[in-house]
Amino acid sequence: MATDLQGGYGWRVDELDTDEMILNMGPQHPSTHGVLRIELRTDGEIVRAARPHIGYLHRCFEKHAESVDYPGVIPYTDRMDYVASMGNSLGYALAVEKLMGIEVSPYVQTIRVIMAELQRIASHCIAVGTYGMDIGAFTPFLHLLRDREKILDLFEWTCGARLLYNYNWVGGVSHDVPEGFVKACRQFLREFDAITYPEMIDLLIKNKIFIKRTAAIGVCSPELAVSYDLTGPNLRGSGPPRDLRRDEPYLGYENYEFDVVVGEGKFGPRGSCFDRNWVRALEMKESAKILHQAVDRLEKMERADVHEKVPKRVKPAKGEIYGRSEAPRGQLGYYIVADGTGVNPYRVKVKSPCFTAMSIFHVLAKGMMIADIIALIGSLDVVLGEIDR
Amino acid sequence: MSWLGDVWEGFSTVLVGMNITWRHLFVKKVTLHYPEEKWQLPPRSRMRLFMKYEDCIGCG
Amino acid sequence: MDLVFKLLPEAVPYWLRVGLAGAVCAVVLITLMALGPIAYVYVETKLAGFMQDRIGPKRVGPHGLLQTVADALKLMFKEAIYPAGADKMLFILAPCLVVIGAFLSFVVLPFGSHLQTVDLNVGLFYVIAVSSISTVGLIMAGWASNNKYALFGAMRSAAQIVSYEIPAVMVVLTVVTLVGSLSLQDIVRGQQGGLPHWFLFRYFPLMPVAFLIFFTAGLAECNRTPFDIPEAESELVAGFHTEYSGFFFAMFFLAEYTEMFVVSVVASVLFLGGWWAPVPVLQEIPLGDISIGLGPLWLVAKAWFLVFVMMWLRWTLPRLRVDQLMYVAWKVLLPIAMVLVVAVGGLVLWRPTANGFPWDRWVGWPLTSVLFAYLAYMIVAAQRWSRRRAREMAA
Repeated sequence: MATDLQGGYGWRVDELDTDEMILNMGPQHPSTHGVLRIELRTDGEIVRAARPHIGYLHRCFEKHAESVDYPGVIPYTDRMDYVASMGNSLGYALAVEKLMGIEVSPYVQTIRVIMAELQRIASHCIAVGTYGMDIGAFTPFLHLLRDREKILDLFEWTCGARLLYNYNWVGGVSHDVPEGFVKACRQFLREFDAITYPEMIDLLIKNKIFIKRTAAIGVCSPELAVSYDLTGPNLRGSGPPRDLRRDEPYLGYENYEFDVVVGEGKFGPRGSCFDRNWVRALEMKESAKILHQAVDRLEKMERADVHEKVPKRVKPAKGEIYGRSEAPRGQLGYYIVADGTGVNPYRVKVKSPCFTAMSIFHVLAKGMMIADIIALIGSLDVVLGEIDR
Repeated sequence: MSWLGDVWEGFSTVLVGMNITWRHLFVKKVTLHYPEEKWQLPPRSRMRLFMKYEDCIGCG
Repeated sequence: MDLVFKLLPEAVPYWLRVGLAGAVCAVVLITLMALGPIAYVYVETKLAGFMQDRIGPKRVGPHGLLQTVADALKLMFKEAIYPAGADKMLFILAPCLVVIGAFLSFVVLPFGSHLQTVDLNVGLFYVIAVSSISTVGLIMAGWASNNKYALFGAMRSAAQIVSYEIPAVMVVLTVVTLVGSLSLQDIVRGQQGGLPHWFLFRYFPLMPVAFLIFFTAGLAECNRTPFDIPEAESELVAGFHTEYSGFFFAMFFLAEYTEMFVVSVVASVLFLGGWWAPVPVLQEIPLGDISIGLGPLWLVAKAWFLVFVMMWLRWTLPRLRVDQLMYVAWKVLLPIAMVLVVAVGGLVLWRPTANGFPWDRWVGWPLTSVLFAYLAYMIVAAQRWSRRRAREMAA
């Protein structure tokens, strides 16, 4: 493994064996993962080595964070993982609140849980949908996207934006939920439980062709997964039931009843691409469960002011903190260093789950066929915005 | 005879999938016929579905 | 072609009569064949939309009917780009070969009792042989493009088509055993008498399985999902036709849809009764002395139904990987096809008159009528489900 990545940038043609060739899956893919360049060294159809090249979407997030003040970083965090923005700003807001010692009210916590779980369903819709599309099933993608549109309509109704919200502020949220939100949310959950979820399982997950394509490839043992620091559905697909919502509960997650979905290896070895996808699909159901409970709780609470604890000027004392949360793609961590002077953070470092997921790619890609490489990237569910920041 | 089981499973899951797609042929479509019907933006939205020529600074 | 030949006056010399008859038939056929894909592309995009809860094209022409015409015009006016380093002659020749392979099969297709261009007595053999010309064209396309992806796609496609020919041909053998002749008209005439006599319903469950194998192999021959690895979009950009633009791409497209139609027509001729109506009453419309035969209409209706099923499968199923594709061809379809050949051959030897076999009367017909009842139920159930769902979503 170490020898593959040494020696400069890319392979040279004269260091190949006689029957190998270099195949470049260039920065532009027909699949929607983003601008990722993968260099494959193949022997016919079988891949001998793979080398991903990233950095095409680097936008200097961490440098920008040093020149705006603490609440101003939140729109930048939205744009990292643009498919699941609520999770990003939630992680950052939680970290800064811990640094400043702010405790938000249960009303705000419930709203945040609802938004985070809705975002998790929406993000997994994209993950499972585009995975199906990479495998060749075009229809489930559109059915899931129709449901994602319903979620995005809910978000637009609440805060005004469909994709990049600037919603979780330090100390609260930007807008209170409008009148009738609970009813609309319940309506969405009713449609999701009755129609979308069973159809997705029947049409895509249980399809024999899909199972044959994905259940025997990309097998990642639990030890390998832990040693490469995989988190989230990628880790849970291999076995260990580690979920930050269970292990280090935040936002009152200890009061909600849900199961941690773990890959079971029903149709093949445990930890295959199918298992990771299975974890994502079933997590949608678990998020729906949490949403039912959270919406019931929200209905019973009386409305409070969501801007109550938002400080006028965020000026924490000198210190540093690492705050982490369970984003749809894994464990998203913010390491914030405050130097006590000025309103800008001194340093914001992001531990992005997709970056560590990409690091296991070259290990799992050995010995696969080219068609499986696409399936593998899809099952790791990478979003380039988060890898490159 | 797992071979026979595999063949039967392949065939039956294909039929189940075809059933779902067949049903979707008769469902009301979610397309919005744009110029004739426009989407009503909610009151808090921060976007516009049209372009104001005076605000445009051009792409370069 | 015989009809046209007889219509020409006797005074014209023989060779001219033959030539003119051939030319007229060729022009008629090519017109019909070229118009077909226009309709199919429209139906495919509309069908894709409807299955995905959206409408397909709707702007160009009423309900988007002229969309394919617009697409064809656009493709014709595009610049034909030749990649640097491509073998120019092969590059241009490849789409021509693919199209020729698809079109040549039209010559023997029986559209009515006297509406066949040439009634070769080896008609079936001719169709199978001629549809393999497209394979050469595909390999040429991949090689001449000077592109690794195209070569990959072409190699995979060649392997796939060649592998799926074998179960298809074996299954066709079972039909030939029932009739005893390779001529397509004889095969159709052997299914006279209405729905129960079609070859699909003989020797239940042998012939329905044969039909399924033939249909699956035909799907693979056309490079349609679930066997569309050669033109897989998200994997190898566009497979063997990556480097083609403009009119050449249109030719590949044309050839694919024409091949789909040809496979459907051959399947209807072999299994679904050709140009016979399901009930003999509907075969002709009597208008006094003459009667208008509805044969061509029935054949085209059956072929269009099978094309619809092919499109339906495309939008439902994911793709099979190349080695799994080969596994299906060699280890699933081929053994079943061999068993079928032996079984049907044995049954025909035992009771030489295929029509009077008691199995068909007592087992086959009830089971197949149950199948039809289920199909009818599916249509009704779909309507009821969609109404129930609309009620649930509005509540």
